[in-house]
Amino acid sequence: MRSPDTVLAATLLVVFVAMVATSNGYPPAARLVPMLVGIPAIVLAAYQVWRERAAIPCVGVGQTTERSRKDPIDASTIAWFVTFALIVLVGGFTVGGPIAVIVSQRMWLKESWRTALIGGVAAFVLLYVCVDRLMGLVLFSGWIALLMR
Amino acid sequence: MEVIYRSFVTLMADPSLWLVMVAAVPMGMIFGAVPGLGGKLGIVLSIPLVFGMDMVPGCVFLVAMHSVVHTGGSIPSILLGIPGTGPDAATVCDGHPMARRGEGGRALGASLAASAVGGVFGAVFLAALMPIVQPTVLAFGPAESFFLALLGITFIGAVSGDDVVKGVLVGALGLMLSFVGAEQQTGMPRFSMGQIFLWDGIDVITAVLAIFAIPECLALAGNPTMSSAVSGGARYRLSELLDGVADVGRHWGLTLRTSFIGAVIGLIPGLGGDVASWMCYAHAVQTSRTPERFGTGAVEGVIGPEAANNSKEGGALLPTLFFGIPGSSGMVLMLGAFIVLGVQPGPSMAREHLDLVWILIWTLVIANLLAPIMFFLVGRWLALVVHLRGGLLVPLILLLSCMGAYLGGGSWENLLLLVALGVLGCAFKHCDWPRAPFVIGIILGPIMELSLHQSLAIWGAGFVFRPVALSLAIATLITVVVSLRRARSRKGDIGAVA
Repeated sequence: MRSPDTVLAATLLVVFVAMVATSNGYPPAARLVPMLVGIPAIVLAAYQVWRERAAIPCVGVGQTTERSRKDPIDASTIAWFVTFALIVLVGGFTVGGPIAVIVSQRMWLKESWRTALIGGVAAFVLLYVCVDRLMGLVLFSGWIALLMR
Repeated sequence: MEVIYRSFVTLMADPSLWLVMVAAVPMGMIFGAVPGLGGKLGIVLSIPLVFGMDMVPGCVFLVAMHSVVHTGGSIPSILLGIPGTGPDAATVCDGHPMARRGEGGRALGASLAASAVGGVFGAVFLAALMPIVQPTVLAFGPAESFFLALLGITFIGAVSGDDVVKGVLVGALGLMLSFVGAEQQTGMPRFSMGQIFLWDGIDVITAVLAIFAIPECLALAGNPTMSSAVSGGARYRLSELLDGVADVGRHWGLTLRTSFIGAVIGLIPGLGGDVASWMCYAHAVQTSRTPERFGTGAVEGVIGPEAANNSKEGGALLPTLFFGIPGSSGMVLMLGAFIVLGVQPGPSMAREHLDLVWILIWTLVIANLLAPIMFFLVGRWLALVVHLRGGLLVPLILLLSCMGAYLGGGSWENLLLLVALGVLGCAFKHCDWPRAPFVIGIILGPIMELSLHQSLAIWGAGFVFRPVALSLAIATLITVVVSLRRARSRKGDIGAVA
């Protein structure tokens, strides 16, 4: 059985190993500090993986390996976040942004259509009127607009 | 003396700076007042707003907003019994019982006045230390900067919470990711995987938004509807507020003492607002002739923590600005925001940006005085903010985060980076791993690497034996030993409880 902590520690271990292995091919000046940080980090991550795995069998009958988690963020929440970012990427900020707000208010957070539409209008006012027109900042126009050019 | 006067005149005579402060103060109070938002999210979400601003208005906005977060945080603590931010938890003990017995207005008045006095005291404390700090930091070269960065990195242990190993791992990840991009000595692109947008390195704004704002925002989505624990809690009379303000005058000794304790605690990296407010609550109980009243609605139990909450911000700005060592996780984010605005905290602040430092000190004073005035004007409506459902704000916060990531990095690929690091941030939050060390790593990593190369080029390996560098190295070692001993004693305590 793998606890989320073990998976996280193992992921960090893989990242550190990959980065140290990559830095091995750089000139001495470029690899000095990454190696200085990366090698102890590999040792520490391996120790953390071992610590997490060693902690699992200690759980007695009727106990659970799950600790009490504050503010649990489940897979569907993450999926909604990814969807939100994708809508913005596809449609751009001024078009995709309000659509992403409306879709997430209505379908993810189960708000009423009225609330969702108010949120969408607020997002449009913020992005188009405040950021684009008043502040003059250029926002991403989206993958669709990029393809159409 | 001239720079103090000049910075004051700059702040007072520029209407745009006044506008920035008038906008930032209610924003900070709202971030503090809505349970679940808080000052850290406030700074992170302000980054897109200050993007494109000049350095001075941007810094003034951030400091004004952040300095009054706890002033707003006392509103839900008193009216709902729900602390708006962590350090406001101590205010609940006596503030909420006061509201329950119909003295909510008096508790709010005392909290506002104590916060204002504490905030101004913090600024005076910072100003008083300037003559000592200035010559010290001016003596710093690359060798000292390297050890200072190293010392800052060892404070990862202090902000790691219960598990130092996890904190160090997260900090190491931040450090490793700070090495992404063209190396400063050779120009060689490192860890960029052929992506040109990574040649400039991982954008600090994107990383901070992903690791802090995204997990907090997604957790807020699961926040149930807030409901008032005190019916009609938002209703109070002006005379009740003024009665609370008078309470601070009646307990002026306690107010000044707790302000001083808070400012000193703010100065010490790693202790933070929770320690300041609870220590000052305990001080209020210990020094009271009638300690049995505490917990049932004693006004001193509101004054002590609220004065400390705000005064610690002045103390915490000193190591953040002059040494690049953030005193708390909130200051870690402030450090990142300053860099976004083109201010490089560290010894160079005393050489290049002394005017800015004094403007920020004056900002602390004015923002803390503006906060209660604004509350008196719009308090009834501001008190209603505490009933706002956090979930309603989630899509807008997500949109602001996406915008911040895009504007910070200037390329759409940063949104993909935001998603990837955001998922990592959620994993850290889900597993209760500390996240502040990541930001310390990503900010101090490049400073450490550059100063190490410069020191080696100038002095060779002997740079370690320069007097100030050596003392900083010793301080670094002491910090590591203290962190490890503290972690061991915590583990011992947990073992004893089990």
